[in-house]
Amino acid sequence: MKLKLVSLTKKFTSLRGSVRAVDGIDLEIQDNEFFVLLGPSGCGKSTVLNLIAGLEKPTGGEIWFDDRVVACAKKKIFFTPKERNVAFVFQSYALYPHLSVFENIAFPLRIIGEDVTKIKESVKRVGAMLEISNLFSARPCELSGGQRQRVAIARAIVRYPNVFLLDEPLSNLDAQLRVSTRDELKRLQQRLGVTTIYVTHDQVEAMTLGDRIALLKDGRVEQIGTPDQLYECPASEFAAKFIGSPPMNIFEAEVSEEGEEFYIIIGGEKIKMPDDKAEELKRLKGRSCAFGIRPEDIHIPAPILRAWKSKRSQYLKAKIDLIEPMGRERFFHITINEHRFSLLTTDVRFKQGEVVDVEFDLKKLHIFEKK
Amino acid sequence: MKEEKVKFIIIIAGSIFMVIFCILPFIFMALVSFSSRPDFLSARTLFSFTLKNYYSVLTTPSLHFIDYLRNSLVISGISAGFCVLIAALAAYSITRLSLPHKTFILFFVLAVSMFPQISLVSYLFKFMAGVGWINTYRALVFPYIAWILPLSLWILVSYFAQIPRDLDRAGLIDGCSRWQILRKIIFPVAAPGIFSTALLAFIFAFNEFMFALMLTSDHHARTVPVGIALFQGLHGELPWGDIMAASTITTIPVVILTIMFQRHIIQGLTRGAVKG
Ligand SMILES: Nc1ncnc2c1ncn2[C@@H]1O[C@H](COP(=O)(O)OP(=O)(O)OP(=O)(O)O)[C@@H](O)[C@H]1O
Ligand SMILES: [Mg+2]
Repeated sequence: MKLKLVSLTKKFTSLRGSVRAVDGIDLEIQDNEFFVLLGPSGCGKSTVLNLIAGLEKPTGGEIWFDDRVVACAKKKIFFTPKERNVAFVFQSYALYPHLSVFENIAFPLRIIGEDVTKIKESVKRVGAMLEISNLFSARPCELSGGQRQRVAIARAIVRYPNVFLLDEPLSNLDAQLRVSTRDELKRLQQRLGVTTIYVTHDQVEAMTLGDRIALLKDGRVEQIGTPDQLYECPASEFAAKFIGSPPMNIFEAEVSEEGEEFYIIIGGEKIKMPDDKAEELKRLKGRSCAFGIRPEDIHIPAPILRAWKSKRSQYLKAKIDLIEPMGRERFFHITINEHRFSLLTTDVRFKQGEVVDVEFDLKKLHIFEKK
Repeated sequence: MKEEKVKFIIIIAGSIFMVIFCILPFIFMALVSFSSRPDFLSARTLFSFTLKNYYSVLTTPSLHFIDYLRNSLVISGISAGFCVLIAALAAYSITRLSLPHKTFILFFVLAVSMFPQISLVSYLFKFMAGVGWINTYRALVFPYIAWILPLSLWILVSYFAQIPRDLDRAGLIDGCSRWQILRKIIFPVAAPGIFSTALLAFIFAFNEFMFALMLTSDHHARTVPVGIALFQGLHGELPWGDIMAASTITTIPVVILTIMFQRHIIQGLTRGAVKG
């Protein structure tokens, strides 16, 4: 099932005034795609999902399932969730507390009046798939968080939905379970081949799960792309800060132009920009910019290399304020002439308080226009 | 250690006091009903056990106690049933649907229920006399439903508000109509609240006096509270033994109902619906 959102808008009017929770979103989601909606709290992710599910009516725009309009504010078209045949896993799981696990999973089938033997078969099939067959007679209150989550997924997939919608389904699980369930979810989606939309505020989850990610901010799409695209070429400062852990260093620096060459000045040191960056700076001339560099793109060169490379590279003097060991890597907080940066390295030779030379990998430097 | 002890003593003493305070009238009632000289209210007579009062209450046709009891049970049962049904539907729409002026409706209902009964009863009498319903079940059932509805509505609204909205949404996703959501999800989940509200409504109707006094005239529709109050002996004296025996019998259905429903009025049935 292909999905298309056309300038989708949702305005809530309440006592405290009106909020544009979703503000003109255009998206196209391919068949069988695992699509992730990512964004900070309150950016309208859940609202988009509810609009797709048919739990909310849009105040503007259209929603298409393949070549069928399922919701259109202008033409007053609105299909109910039942007509859309979507499955939804809620953040709170929303299991029916008065029914056993078996009945919870069977519930959607009973509502459409499936016959008893078929219901039994279907429930057993998904129960086996999610390894919860031994829990069939339990009540939801007797289950652990992870088990509840499986039951919720089982209930969602038991009737071959057109679209599979998940609203932060892992946020109530502990870190370890979250990782294992994440992998399982990805595998399950590949096996079922159902178009899936997954909402999360966790960029790690988004990166690992998504075929493509839409980054939302204040009800608008900030950037759409594959995880790699979002990581390598963030479209804005917001995207740059949101994706990647630890986050990208964002800094402001003076730009100076000398003939055809562009320099930026960090910590009193003039750094020559490579050609492609110079072009970009030329384009943005006169507008205020911010620069970004990921922690792993700031290097501390080894002493031998330093002597060898010093002709071609520019080093900056940096003081190491704090070292956070993170297992495989170390996370350094450094200051370059009052500017704070962070960097990631596997090098273990350095100590807190030491002053070292650092080198920016200028090919990986990002330039953002300030709005 | 010492503090613990003091606390313990206070709690025990307090509980004993409360229990005695509440149960003493009942004990007195039961004692009188079993006494062969029920006029020992004042005189210093010895207690002697008898079942005479019960026998007389249950068998004397002129007392009509059995009729009263049946009237009471039927009227209260019907009133409580309808009342809770209406209140549950109303509570669902108030908590779930986007009704305009929900809070206004809720407070209006509360305000209406604040009229004292006595201010309504004369008009009610006129109305019932006009439609010819005086001394019928209908004459009591309708006013009772209206009178108990605000209370039931408020209790059920607060109960339904606690049921997570995600359950409704899950129902919608699973293909339920609004009515199916109500019947298959909300009502079963809210069962403890609905049972306790029904019980409360029943007790309210069962104990009601004023309407019953004004709108009924004899054993065809008169309820127990009025019936007992109007018990009279052969020579106009107050038959305390009969009154107390009748009262004791009357408490039995309520006690039975409470014990029966107690199983259902367990808290925390929604546990496990959502996280935590
Ligand atoms: N029923 C509603 N009435 C009024 N405002 C609402 C309603 N639902 C959501 N909003 C507002 O819409 C905005 C987006 O809410 P939404 O629930 O979609 O955020 P979210 O991205 O899912 O956040 P979170 O990650 O915290 O779940 C918020 O500002 C919220 O206050
Ligand atoms: Mg949300």
